[in-house]
Amino acid sequence: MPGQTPEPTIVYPARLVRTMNASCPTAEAVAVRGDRFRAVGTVDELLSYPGAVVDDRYADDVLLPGFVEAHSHAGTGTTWKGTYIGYVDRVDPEGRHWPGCRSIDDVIARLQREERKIGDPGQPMIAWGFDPIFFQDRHLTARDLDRVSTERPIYIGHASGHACTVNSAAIRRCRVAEASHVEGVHLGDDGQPNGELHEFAAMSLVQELSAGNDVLSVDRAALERFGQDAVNTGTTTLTDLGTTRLMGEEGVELYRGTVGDGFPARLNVFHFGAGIGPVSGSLAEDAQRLVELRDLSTDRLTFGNVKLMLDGTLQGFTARVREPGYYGDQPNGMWNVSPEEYHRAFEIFHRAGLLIHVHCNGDQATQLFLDTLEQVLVAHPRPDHRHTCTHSQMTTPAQFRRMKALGACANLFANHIWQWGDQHLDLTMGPDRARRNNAAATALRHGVPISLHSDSPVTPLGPLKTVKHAVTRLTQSGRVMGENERISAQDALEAITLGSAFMLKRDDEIGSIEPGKFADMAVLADDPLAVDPAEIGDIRVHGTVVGGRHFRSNVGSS
Amino acid sequence: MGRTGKPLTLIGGYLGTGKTTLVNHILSAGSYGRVAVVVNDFGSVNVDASLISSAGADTLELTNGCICCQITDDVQRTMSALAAREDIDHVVCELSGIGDPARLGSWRSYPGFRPGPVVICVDAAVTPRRLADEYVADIVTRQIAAADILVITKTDLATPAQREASLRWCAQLAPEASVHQAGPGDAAGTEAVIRELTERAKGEPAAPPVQGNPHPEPGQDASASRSGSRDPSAPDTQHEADRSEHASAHASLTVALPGLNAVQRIVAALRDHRSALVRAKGIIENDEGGWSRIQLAGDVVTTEPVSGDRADRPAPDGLPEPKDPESSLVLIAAGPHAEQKLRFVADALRANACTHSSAGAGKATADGAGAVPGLASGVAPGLANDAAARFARGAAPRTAGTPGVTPADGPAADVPHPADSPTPVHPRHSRTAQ
Repeated sequence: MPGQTPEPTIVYPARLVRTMNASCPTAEAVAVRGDRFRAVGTVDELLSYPGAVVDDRYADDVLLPGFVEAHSHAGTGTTWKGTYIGYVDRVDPEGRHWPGCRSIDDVIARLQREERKIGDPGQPMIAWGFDPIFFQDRHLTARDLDRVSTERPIYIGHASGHACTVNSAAIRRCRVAEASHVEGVHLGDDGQPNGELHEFAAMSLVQELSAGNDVLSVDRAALERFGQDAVNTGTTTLTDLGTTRLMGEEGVELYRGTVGDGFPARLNVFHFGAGIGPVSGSLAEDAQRLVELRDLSTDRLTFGNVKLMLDGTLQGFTARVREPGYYGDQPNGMWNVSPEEYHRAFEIFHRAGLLIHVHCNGDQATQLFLDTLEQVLVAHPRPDHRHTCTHSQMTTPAQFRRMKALGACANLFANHIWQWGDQHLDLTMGPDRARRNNAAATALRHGVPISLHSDSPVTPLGPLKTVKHAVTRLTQSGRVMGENERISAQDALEAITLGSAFMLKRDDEIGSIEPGKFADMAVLADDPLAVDPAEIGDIRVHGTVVGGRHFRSNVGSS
Repeated sequence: MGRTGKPLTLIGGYLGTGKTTLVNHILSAGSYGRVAVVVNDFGSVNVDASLISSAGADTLELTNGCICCQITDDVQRTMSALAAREDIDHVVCELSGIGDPARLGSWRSYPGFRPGPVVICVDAAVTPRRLADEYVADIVTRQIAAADILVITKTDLATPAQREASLRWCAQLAPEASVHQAGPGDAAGTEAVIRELTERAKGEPAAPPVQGNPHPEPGQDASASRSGSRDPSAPDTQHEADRSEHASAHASLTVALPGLNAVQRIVAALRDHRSALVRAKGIIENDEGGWSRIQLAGDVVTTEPVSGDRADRPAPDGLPEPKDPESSLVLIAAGPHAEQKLRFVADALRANACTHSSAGAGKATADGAGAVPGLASGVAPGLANDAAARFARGAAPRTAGTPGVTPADGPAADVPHPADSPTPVHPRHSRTAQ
């Protein structure tokens, strides 16, 4: 404006700028003015812009558009209140590396080490990430946990959410022995509870130990940890895919008070509309409130999206699958909401103009997503809705064709290929159908817009690792699960940038390095297209740029 | 702690089957003690405002002593709080439309609770369609199969064919459940449901299943429920426990009806004795050279011809009908005099069994115009057996496959094998897997 000093244009030379913009895929530098990209090009070109100055802090780095994680949970920050004992390696938001626990002995050793750090002897120890599917021939029991402490109650939540193991101090404190006949309380050879508690009636006997540690419990500190996790992984846009707290002022204020201009990532908050607990009796009012909340959205914080959850998980055998069913003829999984209630919820949120992402792990859930979408679209056409089948793990080629025809997107759970691929081959789907688990190549062949996600904290946040899994389709044991579903690194990078931005309806603002978009970047030590695909996930992330502001990773170099 | 406590009754059934209507009746009746009802949503509960003595966010206290709780996000908190309350006689929990009673039944062993019956509402009009629906057939099947008490609702919206199909499914999926019909405005039908569930809930506490020892101890046989807490994937020992538990709560009897039967007479006899029975079902050879399926469910007797190919029959989900090729009916009765009732009805049926029976036997029943006076006057079973003997095709004694069904009683089974008996056309017995 006349009379005002224009904001400076800062030119960042880099080893390479990879833009994800097909008309200018690479450049030697990028220019930022305020919170937006001004231009990409050569340093000389960029210095021709008014007020241009050079900042060479990224001169040795590779700059990509900031990664966009379209399916994650803010509860990622909550879980780290407990001790991590999962099977795969993780890095916590403080930058500490936690190797995976590969045996029950590993689990116990980890717990012994961490237990000593807890001061108050009466405070229960909580641990998370334990997944018994990796220990088929060995149960974790109170006897194991008593090696850690016989005084402090210890609570180990299983990854399925449907079971836990506690030690004898917890059994005593919660008087589990007096309720040993409760269904789901497992007994040892001595007839006494062995510490394993299955399903909610039995688990509720010890609920006082674990209160406030679940994924849906989020506070300011958890959100901040989640934001730092984003910085450490090159992620500049996060999702909280499913909160129940937007219908109250307190929940809205938590997000608005925490995710301000200084927050190190953009956050898209999805209202959990159906699939957890009773469906709201006032869906229309909820939709109206979300429309109003959408107007409160800022550059950093987005409201007005909805998540619906249809089925369970594949590795828990609770996903809804079509013929021919599970590999071992296990009974079909469960719906989290009836098809009728789902239809009603979907229709109301759709008609309110909101964006809906639907959790569908099994192909029968995908089928219901498609059937409902078609019916609702026929009754209430809405161009460019971008409703998304998220997880979409077992989607068939025919379903991808229909998804394309109906204008839907697929957000694929590529981290599953690594984390549970061996179990899909050997236990859940069998060697044939495991090939089409998270079939990114088929989706792309049929023109379905895709992204790839972590569902953090279910698997670790880390878009570069997610890319590696989609490109290699390697399982933990080193097998390639479905070689014909591998996609190129270019396609995978596009999926975690523009692809996810598209299904969040923000591709006009984020997802590529283009003039006018928000200046969001991942700062990398190497070019993902120049390294061996198996090493893409190991590329060091120095930090991020979000809206022109710089955030440094706190992960030590290894 | 734990082995006593208040009964926890589950009311399930798919979306829109009338669970809430039933719950509203229980709440407003107020005549069955101090009942706490747990519902999914207050919005659907329709209690007269004058009945409400106090209202909290998640709890309504009524002047008639009943309590209504809304389930919150925290099911564990709601249930454990109710379990701890000592001022409640009975807790009735309404499940969600997709709730699996077998899964949620585990709460019934929680300290402070003991198992009450599983009540499942069945929509007379749309249930057959739902049982063919890709998305929910297995859910609805599991719900019905878990029932101790089935309530057939919305009968006014169903065609006779739909209603019969629904009853048939119930008979196949839950052959031991008692069946009530409760159409809209059918206060008596609803009252009967509430009375039965209350009485069952009052039954002596049964030993809950204990891992490693799934078989109930002798003497602990008065069970309010036969299911609801079993894991569908669990090995069969649990089912065995359910069976033996149930065998003592109900009695059943297989009545062989060999020969060519006058179906209408059998139907009439069943109809006359329906109050003595909880259920009856079977397939009998008729006097027109074919086979007829006969059912008594929900106080209604139905019959239909069975085609030579019985593949159209829906899968009984592991709960068998009387085995081919025998022409027989399974009778189920409940209560302290169940066995007597069964013998009484069996006699009535045999007396009406065979068109080719002797004139004397025919007259005895024909005169009664369906009332079967012969029974009251103690017509000897032998009459029917004599008649049957001429055409019998060798009904050997057997143990019925139905859980809890006792072996067929003596006289009917002791039919001799005449050399000249006609070769029956055995309908093909096929089951389609679900």
